Amino acid sequence: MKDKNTDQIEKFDEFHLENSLYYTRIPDSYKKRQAYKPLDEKVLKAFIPGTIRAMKVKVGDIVEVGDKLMVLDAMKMDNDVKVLYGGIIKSVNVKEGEMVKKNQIIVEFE
Amino acid sequence: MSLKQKSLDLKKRMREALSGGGSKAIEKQKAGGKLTARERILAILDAKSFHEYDLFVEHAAKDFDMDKKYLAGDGVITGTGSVFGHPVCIYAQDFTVAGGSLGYAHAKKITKIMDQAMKMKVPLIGINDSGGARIQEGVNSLAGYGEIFYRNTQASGVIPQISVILGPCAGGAVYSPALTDFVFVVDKISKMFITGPEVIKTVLGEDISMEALGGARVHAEKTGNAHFYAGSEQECFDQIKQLCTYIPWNNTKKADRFPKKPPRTRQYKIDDIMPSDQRQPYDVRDIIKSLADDSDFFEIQALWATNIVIGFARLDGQTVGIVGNQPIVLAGVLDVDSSDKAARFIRYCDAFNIPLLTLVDLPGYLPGVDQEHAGVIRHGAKILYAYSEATVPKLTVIMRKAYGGGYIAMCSHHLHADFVFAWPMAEIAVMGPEGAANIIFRSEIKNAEDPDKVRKEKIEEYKQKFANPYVAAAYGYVDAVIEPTETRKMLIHALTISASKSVDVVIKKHGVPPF
Repeated sequence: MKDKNTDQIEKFDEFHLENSLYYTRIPDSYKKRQAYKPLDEKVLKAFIPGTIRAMKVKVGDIVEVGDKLMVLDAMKMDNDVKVLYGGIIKSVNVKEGEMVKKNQIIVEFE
Repeated sequence: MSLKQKSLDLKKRMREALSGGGSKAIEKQKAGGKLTARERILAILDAKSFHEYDLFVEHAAKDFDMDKKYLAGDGVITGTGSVFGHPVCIYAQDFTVAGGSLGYAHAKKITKIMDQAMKMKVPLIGINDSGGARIQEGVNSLAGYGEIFYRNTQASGVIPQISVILGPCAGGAVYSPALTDFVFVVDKISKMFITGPEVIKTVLGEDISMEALGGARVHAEKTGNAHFYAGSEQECFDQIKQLCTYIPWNNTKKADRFPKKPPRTRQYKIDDIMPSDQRQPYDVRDIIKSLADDSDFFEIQALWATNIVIGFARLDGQTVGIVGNQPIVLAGVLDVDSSDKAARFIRYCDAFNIPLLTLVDLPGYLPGVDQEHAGVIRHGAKILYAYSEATVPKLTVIMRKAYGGGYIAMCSHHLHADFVFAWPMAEIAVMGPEGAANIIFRSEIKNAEDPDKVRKEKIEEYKQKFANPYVAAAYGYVDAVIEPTETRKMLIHALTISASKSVDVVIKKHGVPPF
């Protein structure tokens, strides 16, 4: 297609769909979409930013689903965070009183 | 007091109320590139048509020394006037008065003019420029917002509701515009968000500017909350006035009919716009312009979900709402956002007696984990619901590809379109030839000595047999296969035939659409 301003032929992106090829513009939002990653059960990340009020586990602990992990002060509440998947604690990456960001790794499992 | 004195007293009172937040506050407003609330109203309405009411309304708040404060008009101007001679109700929040904050009296003024708009069945234009709830008035401010939302909802589909965001519009306040039909934003002036940068910083520790969080561009491009984006307030007012020419004044009326004008076919010629290679894209807006009166197309949400195009044009002087797949972006696929965008527009047109024209060229719904997880089933269903529900005249032109679920969704006969036309290069099929051949002839291809050669042959065979409009036409799913150059003539005729269309609607309180 001709661009009316520059009179140059636009080079379109190649877009494959169900074995068919289409020439079109692919928006940045589509190019930058995140590939699906399955849940990594070896790490536990902060689901919301906040401050660690208390850590209830230490390295080497064997924990089960539902065990108390920590108290996270977030959204003006003290949230009792429980263990989502069991295992042996390999490392605790945060200290009590520390501010954590969203998706920051709190605990790693063996 | 003599009559003359009383008259002087009125003048004095008016002067005081009309002074808004005073010269200093007005200066500050202007320094930010903003007009005052009253100037904005006057700029939108026909000259000398504005009549103001409730100028002397005062708040009755007592706490926090509020009883000692006079707030001119309680921070909002309300009244009636006209746009191109048609009556409208209008209100504008005055940021110079206590930051345009919404207290009980302020909200009362707004709901009063809303009630008036509903009673008189005229459009409502709301200009938002407010810091939010007037904290000193506590729960009464919240009551005020709630009463506005209730009325927005009651008025939805009865009178056109236009929201103009010309300043901050934050917290609960954003939900009034969100409930209205059209939201206008202006670069560097409009700011909309539920929680502002400060709260986000304290709670989440994330740093973001107001502009990056909820500026005009964000809502025009990313969130889809805004329908029209302008570079300046004046441009915004022009857009509002232009919109008013396309829509009817309430749901019992039709849009004004304009003198008919032919399209500018020298500039927009279908044969030149359509590429000869079926895989190459074109800008569907050029096709629209090749069909529309004077090649005039008034696009809505031009910057968001650009793989679908929506907007108004006229055919033979009559407004039509156009939905078109846009092959130039993502091959025109349907996805979460484009389904939302089209579905809401279809429902708008249906509510306000605007015939729908659907231009089809899409390979189907967009595949991907992100789409599935974003709920493409739920969102995609909206477009099916909206087209099926619509009882206005529904005209469809299948230009090129109409594959799979996308074919059904784009106002096919199966969703009770009134007229479906197809161009000779249309391909109406369950999927693209490459995909279909791979499935149907899987074992033949697999067992062949030269699978690639056989695959190519089979694709070609499938194309010959099915990649055309005639299979669908043989079942009557397409009413007529037409030359592209005949399209405008056919559409105008179809509109004429549909002028008195009436459909028996199933009696129910309301449906339960996949919102």
